[in-house]
Amino acid sequence: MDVIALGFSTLFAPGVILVLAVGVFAGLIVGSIPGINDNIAFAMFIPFSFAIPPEQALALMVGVYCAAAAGGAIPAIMIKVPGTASALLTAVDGNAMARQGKAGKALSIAITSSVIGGIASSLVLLVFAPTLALFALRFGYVENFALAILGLSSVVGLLSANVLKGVISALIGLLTATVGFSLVTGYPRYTFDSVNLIEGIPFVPLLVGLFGIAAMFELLVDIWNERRSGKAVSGLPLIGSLKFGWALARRLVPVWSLSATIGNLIGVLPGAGMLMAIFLSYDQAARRFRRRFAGKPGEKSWGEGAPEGIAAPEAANSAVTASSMVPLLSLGIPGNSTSALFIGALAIHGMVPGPLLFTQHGHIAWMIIVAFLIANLILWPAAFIVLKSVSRSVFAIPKEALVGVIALLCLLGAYADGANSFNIWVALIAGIVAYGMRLAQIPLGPAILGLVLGPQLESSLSNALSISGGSWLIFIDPVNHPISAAMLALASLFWLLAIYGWWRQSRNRSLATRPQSDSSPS
Amino acid sequence: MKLPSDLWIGAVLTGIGVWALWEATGFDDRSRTYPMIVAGLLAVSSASMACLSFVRNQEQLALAGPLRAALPAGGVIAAWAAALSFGLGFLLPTLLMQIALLWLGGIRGAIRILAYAVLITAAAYGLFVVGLEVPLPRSRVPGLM
Amino acid sequence: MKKAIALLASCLMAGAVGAAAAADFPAKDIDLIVPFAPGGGVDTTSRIIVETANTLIEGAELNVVNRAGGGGVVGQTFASKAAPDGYTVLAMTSSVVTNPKLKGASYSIDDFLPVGLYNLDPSVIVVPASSPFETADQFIAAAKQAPLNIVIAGIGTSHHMGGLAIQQVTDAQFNYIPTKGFGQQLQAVLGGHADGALWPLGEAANHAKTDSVRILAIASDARDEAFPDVPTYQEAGIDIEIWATFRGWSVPKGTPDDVVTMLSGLLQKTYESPAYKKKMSEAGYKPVFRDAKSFKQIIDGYAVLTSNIIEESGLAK
Repeated sequence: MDVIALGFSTLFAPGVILVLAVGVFAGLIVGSIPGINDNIAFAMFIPFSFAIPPEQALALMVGVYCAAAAGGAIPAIMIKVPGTASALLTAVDGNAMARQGKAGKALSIAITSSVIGGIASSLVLLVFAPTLALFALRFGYVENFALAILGLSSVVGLLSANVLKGVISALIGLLTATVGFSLVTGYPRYTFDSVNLIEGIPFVPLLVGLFGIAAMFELLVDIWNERRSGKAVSGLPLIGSLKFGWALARRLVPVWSLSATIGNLIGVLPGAGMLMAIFLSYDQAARRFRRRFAGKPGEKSWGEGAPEGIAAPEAANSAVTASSMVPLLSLGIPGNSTSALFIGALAIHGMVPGPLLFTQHGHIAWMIIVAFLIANLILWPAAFIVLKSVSRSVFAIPKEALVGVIALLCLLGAYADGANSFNIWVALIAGIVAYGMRLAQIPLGPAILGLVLGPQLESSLSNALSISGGSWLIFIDPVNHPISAAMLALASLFWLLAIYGWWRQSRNRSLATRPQSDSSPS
Repeated sequence: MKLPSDLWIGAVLTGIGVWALWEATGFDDRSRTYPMIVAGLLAVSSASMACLSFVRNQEQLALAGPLRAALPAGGVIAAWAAALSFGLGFLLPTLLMQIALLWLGGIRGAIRILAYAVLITAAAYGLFVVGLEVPLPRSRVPGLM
Repeated sequence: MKKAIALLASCLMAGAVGAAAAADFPAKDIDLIVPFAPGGGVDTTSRIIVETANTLIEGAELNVVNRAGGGGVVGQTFASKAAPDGYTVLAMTSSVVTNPKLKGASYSIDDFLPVGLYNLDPSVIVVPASSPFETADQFIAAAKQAPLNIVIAGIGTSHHMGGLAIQQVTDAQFNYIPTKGFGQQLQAVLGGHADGALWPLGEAANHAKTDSVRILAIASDARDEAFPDVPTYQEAGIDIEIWATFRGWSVPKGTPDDVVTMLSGLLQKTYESPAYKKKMSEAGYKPVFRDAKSFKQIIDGYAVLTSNIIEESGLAK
């Protein structure tokens, strides 16, 4: 308890708490600008953090980190352009709801879910950090492979429309992820002798292109279609009322709890990342929605404005933020690429994350922990202030002018990652490919998951087999690798459930169509 | 020529899969198995998508919009990227790109377009170059930033 | 903002330290190219140097410019092609020596002139705290019986080649487990998923201090003050004198000698500042300084060592 009080007293020093609040506002803005995310913002901020005391620098980073994940939902809902990768799935139901004139409700659900996920994960960080860190240590190469399989399997539940296209999409992602020097032997694969591709296709420009540039093309074609059909170009949805009612809140409680749990567990595991958490919880929310609400009067279909489709990914992505600090603070192992940048910020001030941080700089370690809690408490009112002021005026810009703005922000954001012109081409080509996939009705989600999990899948597989001497049985060994066996069992359960669902669907369809075809004359 | 979209997209992806598979045979022993499996699966599933298009999902692609709106925008961005890499500075190519994108977006009126373009270019310059201190590609033309 | 603070600081410090260089260099800001993303070891050390160095020069300042990509090759290539006027300095690591052979980089090591070295990080053998191996002897003896699983950062990295060198001089057998990112490597070692790892001392030190890992031997010609009980490779019966990665400054070939001397002097004066030494040590990097000439010797020595390994193990592209 004393140590927690130490954290609070460090945080509530004048200046520090103020900087945390500034960080929250900055994070909301950074998150809501397509092309810039917390990663890029930190990269730019770390040099600047030299000049200020470590308490303030780290409080600012915590604020930005928490809020950026929430801010990404704002443009995702308003213009279907995710501000950060973590709002990828929020864009689907969120934008659908906004187009039905309920943008305010969608934004409000998104922000409330973020805050709830964030608070849940800060409490986990505060109370269970040491226990969970030991859990993370049980993840070796075998478990990481099983985790990647589980993550990839999380998309099968979403593929009811066209299974084959979903599989193709995942394979495109996995194949793209093999570009670069092979980790196993260092052989250059699909690099075309370009040094820019040695470490694979640069990831930030790739993501920025896949959703930013592609969304810009989509916006442009929407406008063109509207103009050709003679209608006036419809404006952006109005934000409107931000209320969503207690009944809905009660209905979302199970989704919030499950998504926050998934986000916390995934966040603690190094290398799993935010995207996997949002896909897993989105999948769970979709199952629940289909079981409980689909087809009821007054309910939209999944993907067309279901509130669960906003709540699940937003609660999950915020739950990843604080929990990704669990292995970083207790062991010195970053949970994801953003929390890895905290290492840099600490190092600049002569501190190293891990057990030593608690003994040598306990006030900083505990301040970071309590700052996550306070940042999420500030986030709620801050988000509504930003929505009421900044967002209302930004989204008053005519939709036609936004096309150029989004394009430029995304292209410069891609370029800024390493100040390399090559990245602009990566973003452009990725945008064209993603837009082409959309035209061909190939879903993008599985491809992104494949991109993120591909390297982990291949390296953990080859390393696990290298350690086991080529035996595949280690993955299902219930004694030495129970976690791996359980995750693979869960993954196969996902597949079995999906296959059963498809079988039932097609049987229902053939039962429904048979009488018709019998009665038709020919 | 009218073809179901799944047919020719399936064919293109099959081609990519087969190419990647063939390319992967040249990798060393331990680096090739995984990409070969992924590329092979991509080729097979894309080929089945192409074949299935004969029995179901005969949708045509609505290409008019993409060709008339998205393609020129892609061209404009490519031209901007080329100008930037060549060293024509940042401000002039960006201003021209914005003018073109605003026109493609359907804004009309020379003064309105110019005003928006100047505003957007200046804001982007302020955010990335002044605010975030991103080093821009070097300009070959003296006086062009 | 950053510039303003740095400018203010340099104005304040200028009076205390006095005029640093009489020549007209530098007449404008100097770019220190870090070919890696912010937050890593090279970036952190560069920023610590720049912080002090900017208080020692007048009329201009050093700016860290991150040009990440291609595992460092993109930024290194950029620096090799820059104008040889001293206004582009590369934060040079040992990978510059091996990248032309291993990654097909277009430059060669002769395209750079060494300026000075500021950090030398020896390779160490690390095992998990729960490991049965208490000494390097036990470790090598076990590796002679059956291959041990050794975590490394990647194939062809300096520490991988260090492992190959151990295999050459002893009869040990290692099964390398390439694992990207230090965090993931740490997880594998702390969790006991591998038998050991080859790490730079700088990264291993902080975890060894908390007894979560054990350092068995250090590839240096002398024991480290922080770990007086850890033997050097040669004391442990591994006949390798030094295996260390280095960090330093270099400039493109053709840069005038007096400019190189001036930059080298700046790095030396930075090294002599007590605040700098304190900050570097706290961040886990041992501050040292070698001038251009002795840095060149270190580079040449490393080139000879690694080219043997690369030829014999068929790592070259």
